Order: sequence, then C-alpha cells, then structure tokens
Amino acid sequence: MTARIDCIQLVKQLSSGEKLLTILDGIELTVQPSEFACILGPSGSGKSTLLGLMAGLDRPSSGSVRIDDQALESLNEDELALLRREKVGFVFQSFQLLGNLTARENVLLPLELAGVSDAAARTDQLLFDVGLGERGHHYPTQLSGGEQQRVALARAFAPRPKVLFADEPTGNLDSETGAGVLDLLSALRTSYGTTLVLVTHDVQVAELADRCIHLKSGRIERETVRETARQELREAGAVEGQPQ
Amino acid sequence: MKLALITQFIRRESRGARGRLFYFTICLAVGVAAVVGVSGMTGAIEGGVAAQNRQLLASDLRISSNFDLPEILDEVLGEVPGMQRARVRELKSMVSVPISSESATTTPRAQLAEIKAIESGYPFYGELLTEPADGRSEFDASSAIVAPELLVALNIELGDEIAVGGARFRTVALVVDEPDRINFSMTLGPRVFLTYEGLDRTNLVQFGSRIRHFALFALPSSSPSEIQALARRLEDDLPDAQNLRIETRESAQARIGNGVERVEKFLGLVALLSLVLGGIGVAQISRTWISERTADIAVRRALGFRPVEILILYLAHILVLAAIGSLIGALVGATLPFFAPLLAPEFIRADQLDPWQPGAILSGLALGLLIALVFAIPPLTAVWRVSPARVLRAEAEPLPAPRSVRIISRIVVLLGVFGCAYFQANDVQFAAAFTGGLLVLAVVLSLAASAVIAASTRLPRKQLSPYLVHGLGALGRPGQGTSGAIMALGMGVLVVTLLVLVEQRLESELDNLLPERAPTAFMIDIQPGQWEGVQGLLDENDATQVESVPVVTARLASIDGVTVRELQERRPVDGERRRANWALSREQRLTWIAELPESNELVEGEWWNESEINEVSVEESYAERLGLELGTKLAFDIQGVPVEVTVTSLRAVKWESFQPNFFFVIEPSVLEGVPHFRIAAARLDEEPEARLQGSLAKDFSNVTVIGIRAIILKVSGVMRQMALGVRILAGFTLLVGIAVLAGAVSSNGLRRAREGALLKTLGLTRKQVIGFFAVEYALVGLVAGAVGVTGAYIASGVFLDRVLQLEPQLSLLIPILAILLSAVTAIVCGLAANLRAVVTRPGATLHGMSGVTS
Repeated sequence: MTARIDCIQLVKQLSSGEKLLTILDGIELTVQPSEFACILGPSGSGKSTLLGLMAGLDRPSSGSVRIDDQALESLNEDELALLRREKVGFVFQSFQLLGNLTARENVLLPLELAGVSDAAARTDQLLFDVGLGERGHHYPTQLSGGEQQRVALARAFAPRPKVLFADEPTGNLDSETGAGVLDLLSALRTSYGTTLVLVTHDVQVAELADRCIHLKSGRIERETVRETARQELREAGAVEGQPQ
Repeated sequence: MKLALITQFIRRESRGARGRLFYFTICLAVGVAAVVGVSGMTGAIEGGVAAQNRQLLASDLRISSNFDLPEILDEVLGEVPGMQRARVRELKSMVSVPISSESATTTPRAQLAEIKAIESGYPFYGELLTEPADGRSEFDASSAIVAPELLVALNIELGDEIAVGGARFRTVALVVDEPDRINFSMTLGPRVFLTYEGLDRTNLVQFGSRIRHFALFALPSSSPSEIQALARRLEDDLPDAQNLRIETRESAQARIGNGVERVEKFLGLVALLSLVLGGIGVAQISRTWISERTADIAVRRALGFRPVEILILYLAHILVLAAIGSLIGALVGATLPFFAPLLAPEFIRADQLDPWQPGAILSGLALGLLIALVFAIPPLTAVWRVSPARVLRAEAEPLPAPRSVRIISRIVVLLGVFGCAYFQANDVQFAAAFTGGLLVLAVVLSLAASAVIAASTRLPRKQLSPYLVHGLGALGRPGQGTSGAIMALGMGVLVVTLLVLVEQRLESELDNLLPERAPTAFMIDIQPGQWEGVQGLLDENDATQVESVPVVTARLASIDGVTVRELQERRPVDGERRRANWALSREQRLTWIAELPESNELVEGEWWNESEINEVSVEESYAERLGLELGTKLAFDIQGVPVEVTVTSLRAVKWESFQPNFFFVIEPSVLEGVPHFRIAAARLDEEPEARLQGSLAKDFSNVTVIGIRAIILKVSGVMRQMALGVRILAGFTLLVGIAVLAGAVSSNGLRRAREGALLKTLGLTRKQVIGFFAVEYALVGLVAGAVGVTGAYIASGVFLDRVLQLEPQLSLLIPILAILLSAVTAIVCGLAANLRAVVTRPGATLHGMSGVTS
C-alpha cells in the first residue's frame, strides 16, 4: 500500500515566446515508501511543477521519474491514467471537487472507476472518518472550504493509493481549519501507510514532514530531516549526513 | 467501461446545469426539426409537384396503343390495391351540323375535329373544366362537350346538335380546359368530348379506324417509385409491350420541360444543406460544452480517467440529449409541413398531407442521432488536449491530440456526412460527390481562415484605433480558437449563401420558363395561298409573336434500309434498343426551316452544312426512342413519294415554349414544292382572338383556331407555384441557418466574461468594452463572411452547372449582403451571448474562479 518515487536528473523547460525558461534544473530525489516528504520553496521555485512531474500529470523535458521502478516517461497518456487510477491520489489547494457531484459522489467516483465492489460502504466510512458522515448529500458549493478539503481528502484516500500528492492543501484555508485538515491528512496517511509528497510554502506545515526538500530557482537548495524520522530514514538509506 | 458508470455520469452531469442542457437539447431539436421539417416540406412540395404532374397525365399511369389494349392489363393492374381505371379513346373525325337541325345554315358546314370519348372516372387528377361549370351533369351518350372554336367554325350555338359519324349529339357545354392536354403543335382540330358509350353510337369504331386507345389508372396507394417500377414491369412482361406506350408522371413532366426536375434536385440540396447546418450546430454546441468543462475534464484525468473514457461519457450524454432533442425536433418537424398549405394553398393542399408519419419521425430520430454522433466527435477529441496538469495550474499547456485520434475523428465525419447524404438522397454517387465537395470546401475554408489570421498578425497597427488593434489582436491570438469559430461561421455563411444563390438562379429560370411570350392561339390547316390573308387578319387584331411553318404529313418507311414493318416484327436482342412501335407507325409531321428556332438547341451535329446529302434534324429524345444517331438514313413516304434524308443533327426542344415544334425538321430545299399546309401560332388578347376566330370562320373557313390560353395559364401556374415552393423552403432553411450562425458566434461566453472583467478593471467603461467586443466580432464575421461567400460561389457554380445544368449568374449584391449579414449576426449574437460579461461587476467575475469546477 505504499510506493517509492525516484527523480533522476529531472529538467522541465517551458518556452516563453522565443525564450526557453528552465523551471526545474537537474532534480535528483528519492522518496521512500511510506515517507512524508515536503517540498518547500518560495513562489516560482518550481514546487508544483515538480509535484506534477512526480505524479505523472506533466512530462519532463529530460530526466526520469519512477514510481516503484516504473519509468513514467515511457508510458503513454492512457498508461499514465491507469497508473494514477491504481497508485496515485491527489489533494489540491483549490480542492478540485466536481461541482455537479455531491460530496459522497465525489468520493465514490474513483472507486466506481476502479470497479471496487464495496465502493458505497468504503465511501460512507471515509466520509465518517473525515467528519462529514451526515453531509454526503451536499454539493461542494454548499460546503465550507475546510469541509470541501475534507471531502477531497476522502476522495484521495478512497482508492487506497500507494502515494498521495498534495499541492498546498491548506493554502486556501484559515490557519485553524488548515491545522484540522493537516491533522486529518496525517492520520489517514498513517492509517493507510501511504507515501505522501506535499508541496507548501508554510514552514509550520513542513514541520510535520519526515523530510523537507527546499527548492530555489528550480534546484534543490537543501534537505532537512525531522529528528525522529532521521533514524528511520538512515536505516532505509535515504539520508547520509545531510545538514540539518 | 461499465454502463452503470456512464448512466451515473449522465445523471450527475445533468444536475445543476439545466440551462445548458436545455439549450443543448433545444439546439439539437431545432437542427433535427429543420431536417425533418425540410424533408417533410420537401415531401409536401414534391407531393404538390407530383399532383401537378399527375394532372398532366390525368392519372398515375397511362397506357395507350393504336390497337385494343390487351385484357391481361386489367388482370395485372387489378392486383394493385385501390386501383381505379378509366378508358379513353381518341380519334379524328369530321364533325358537321345535321341537315335537319333548325339552326343549321343553308350550306351545311363540316370541321375536322379531335374526338375524345371518356368514361366517367376521367380525369382522376385535375379537372375537365366546362362552361357552364356543371356541364358534365347533362353529359350522356347523346350529348357532347365541345371546344368553343367548333361552335364558331360551324356557326352554331351551345345547345345545338352536331353530327359525328352518323350519330347526333346535343352540345351541352364548352370545354374550357382538359388537364392532360399540353402539347398543341400536333393538333388537327377542335376538341369534341363524347361519352365512351356515345362513341359506340357512331359508325366510327370499326375495323381499320385509326383510334388511339387509352387506359388511365389511378393508383392512390402507390408511391411514384412503385408506379415507375410497375411501368417497367409492364414493359418487360406484357406480350405486346412494343405496341404500347406506357407513361408515368416522369414522362408527363418532361412535356413541361425540366423545371420540375430542377426543383426536385434543389429540394434534395436543401435537405442536405439543412443536415450540414444541423451538424455545424451540434459541433459548435459540443465545442462550447467541452471548453466549459475543461476544469472538470482535467480533474477526471488526474483521477485516472483515460481520454477515451471521458469521450465516451460525454458522447453518451450528447446522444441522450440528442435522442430527446431529436424526438422533440422530429415531432415539431413533422408538423411543419402542415403550415405549408397556409403559405401556398393552391399548391399544397392540406388533404394531401398525411398527419401521422411514423417513418418520417423515426428517420428524423435516426438522422438526429447520426448527426449528433458524427459532428460531436471532432470537438470532443479536445479531451485529449486537456492536460491533467491543469489541476495544478490553470494555464498548463494543452497536450497534442494523438495523430490517430485526429485522423479517425475526421474519417468519422466524412463517413457520417456520406451516410447522412446517402440516407437523404438514396444515391451513392451523389452522396460521394456531396461529401467530396464538402471536404474540398472545408479545406479551402480552413486554408483561407488561416491565411487571413496570419495576415492579421502582420498588419502594421500603429495608425489604427485601439478598438481595431484589440480586434486584430484577438483574431491572431494563439489558442483563441478563432480559426475554429471562423470555420464554423464561414461554413454556415457558405451554406446559407449557397442556398440563396441557387434559389435565386432557379427562380429566375422558372420565371424565364413562364410562357409570357408564348402564343395564345394556334391556327391549323392554312393553305399556302391563304397565308397572306391570314397574316393580314392577324395584323388587324394586333397579334404578336406570330410564327408560321409549313407542315407536310408523312410516314416513316425505313431506317438505315430496314423497313418499318421489319423493325416492328424484329424482336429486341441484346445491345439493340427496342424501337417503340407507336413511334414508328404514327403519322409523322415534317417541316422545313432555314434557321434554328429560338426554342431549339443543337446538342449534336451541325445545322444544314452538308451540301451533298438531304439533311434532317431530329429531336433528341425522339431520336433515342427510335434509336437514331448522326448518320442514320431515314426514308419517308410523303404522299406516295419516297424521300431519303440523313440525320445530321439532334436538337433539344423547349416544349414549354409552346412554339410550333417538330420531332423532324428537314432541310428547306428538300421538300419545296411538296403539297403542304401551314400552321401558325400567335399571341392575342382575349377579345381580338374572338374577333379573329369570327373573321377566319368567314373568310377562310378551312382554317381552325385552337385557343390555348387555358393551357398557358395552367403551365404558368405550375411554374409559379414551384417557384413559391422553392422560396418557402429557402426562407425556412435560411432562418435555421441564421440560428446556427448565432450559436457559432456565442460559443465562448466564459472566456469573454473574464476578458470583459479585466478590461473594466483596467478602467474601460461598459460602452468601451462593448466597442472592443463589437469590433472583434465584426472582424470575425467579415472574415468568415468573405471566406464563406467565396466557398458558396464555388459550390453554387458547380451545383448549377453540373447538377441543374444552368449557367451561373454572378450577382454582386448577394455576396456583399452575405458578408455584411455575417458581420452583423456576429456582432449582435456575440454581444447578446456576452451580455453578462459586459453587465456584471468585474470583481464578481474575477472572484468567480472558485476551486469547484462547474
């Protein structure tokens, strides 16, 4: 129920008029199974782009992304879709709930797509877990921001993905609501053992992560590891004497 | 993909978007209503044309022979349900005033007349108009209905008796019009109607009498194609078929020229174009829908939906809406033809329309679904272009659609258009030509649109007003979809302009066919020495369009040395055309003319240019019937003298001109000196014509005048009504076209809303925002108009020339109007669709971008 992610010499360039902009420049990164990795950096540092590449939403200009040793660049769009369906979950800053669907239907959707037999029961349990057991019939517009993000969390965890990508999940929420959503995210991740890659510019959010990757101008500036996690990660061979 | 997932998607996608779904359904309904309505209207108008044509034959099927008709005929046709039969016999005979009659003059007079003996069923279609109107109520075995000219010629009055073949008949009414009499150039005398039993009272029916026997059949439950098939079967199966002339409405309509055929082809074009309009409408709505659902699609793709799965979901949804829209459209469309009789009551009678047409509704439903399926697929392939990375940043670059998807979607459209065209026209070749033509036009349109857009980006803008700069910028902005909008609008303009151009040309041709310059009276049996005197009388009565030609009666003796008797006895063998016996054995009327008459056109060979041989020019369809070609040698027996001539030209004759026309025209020098008489045609007002009749009866009693005013009115009525039908349909399709154009323009409302909000944030007033948008839409409209009009000219030229065989006439007004209309439609519809962008406060619009996809 968990996956390892490798980024090898990852480069992403975009053309702007006649110029070529380098958004990411030679990223080397490994996220261990069940690890909570946080990507930190100022606006424009390439955080979300890196997330998109790691999740197979976008394609690199060069380099490679591997999820459980499966090179994403060798997959076509259909194969990428199947990979996302089977292994990947998402939580976005702007929630990205489908407005025509109720909260319950939003959670149900990936399960129906995967053809899960106990989809309804699993959905109800997840909605209960995120504290929205009574509000499943509401449409997204009838829910508060925090509630919407909780629905998004339930949807993301519903198909039990091996890895979850979260893009500024608290960015559109006030600090109190944000903290609640983070607690929920942590609890769900722990209970499912999911690898989590989270993008944020909020240092407080980053404190919860096992490891923080600091990006600046498309490069990894430095990595920091939480003390309690350091030992585990060292055992797994992910960190070898990086500065704190 | 599971059906349950698809049905759930449709159910869920339908929520909270009732307005959009309603709009989509209604647009499809309008499209399908147009298709079904046009097809129903076409059916009604074709029915009207068919009804008119049936009048020309007074029946659905007419079989005639110089011999008694075979009895087996009744057996064969007796099997057709609802069949009715009426017998008619025609012959020529002298009609005189009985000597004992009180009103007879001291010197009994006689007149050669054309006798027509009819059974009570005649005519099944059209009316035998008499004066007084109830003339047929007194019509029995001892009475006659006669042409007014006969009374003048015999100097008697209505109610007096006439003698025909030794029997007496009281004249009870005058013939005003008989439905199946169109061609007068073969007429020998005024008409006398007797009953079938009345003719048996005379001594005219005996061995050797030259009687033409007719059997008229009404087959009300058979379609024209069934009747046509029946006629072919009779030709193949009947033992003496070579002695029979079998006519259906197709052969009858040839007698009033190819106006009817052209109108039918035009109706076919309208039906096909309405399909294209419906298709453009569907494509535009689908494009708009998909562009509004981009955010939703990106989320679905991020959740692991494959593009093809998303396409299936949307396509299934579109098909459900299409089914509802098509059903509504088909039901509405099926009622549209019922309004046609209100517009043209004389042409389309309400009682000719079948109120319950499940076939039409089902085919409308099928066509609607086919159109929706085919035209929705290309815009739906946009799902491949939506990057899942859009969930992270809205401006994520679109992905390229796979080559295979692009190719397959285009093949689907081509096959679909071909399928629809075949469905409508039932003709593989025509459907292929239509599809090919449309493909070429689409490519031309697309190239032209790209060229204009490219040119717009290179225009120097320094001197231009900010409005124009914005408009030009919008035209050339990448990712704007301007090319697609111009294509859709341009295609709509093309279709509408094409329709107008063809309709105008056809209408002017129908107007030209109106026999306004046609003669109103024929004069026959003028002896050569009398012509000068007759001409004097014509001048006195202000006759115009006077034409006179000599006539020699003859019999065909041989063709290429094979005698007519041998030809008649020869059984048809493969590769040899069956020569119709009636055409071989009939009395031929020949004339000689130095110049080719105006109503004739040479289609093969040359007019009198061989000095070595005696030349004859033959009417093309008659030549085909007899199997004559250039170089065929004909021998005529002219009053006992053999004359040999060679076919050196073939002519197409406009019979609808009502000028004296002949199947055979001989070179002038050949027949000079042969005993002949003259016939003349002239146009006269009603009163002078009556005076002329009186004078001719007094001074040249052998000359008979045949008035054809009623026939002229009849033909001109058919032409006028056909023109009206064409106008109604064209107008209706034009309205549908404009509705579709409006849809094409108003498809990018959401983007506009943001743009309008931004412009207002930058300090522009509402008026200025309107100005910016108006200029942009005007430019799109002008470019699409220009491109569409160019395409329409190419298409109309090809259609007029190849299909209708009419010379295209270039009008300057139509293209200018079409381009202006396109620009005005673009501005009005564009602004109307983006009213919200103009009216709403900018903050509300810009903040409207929430995390929930709508």
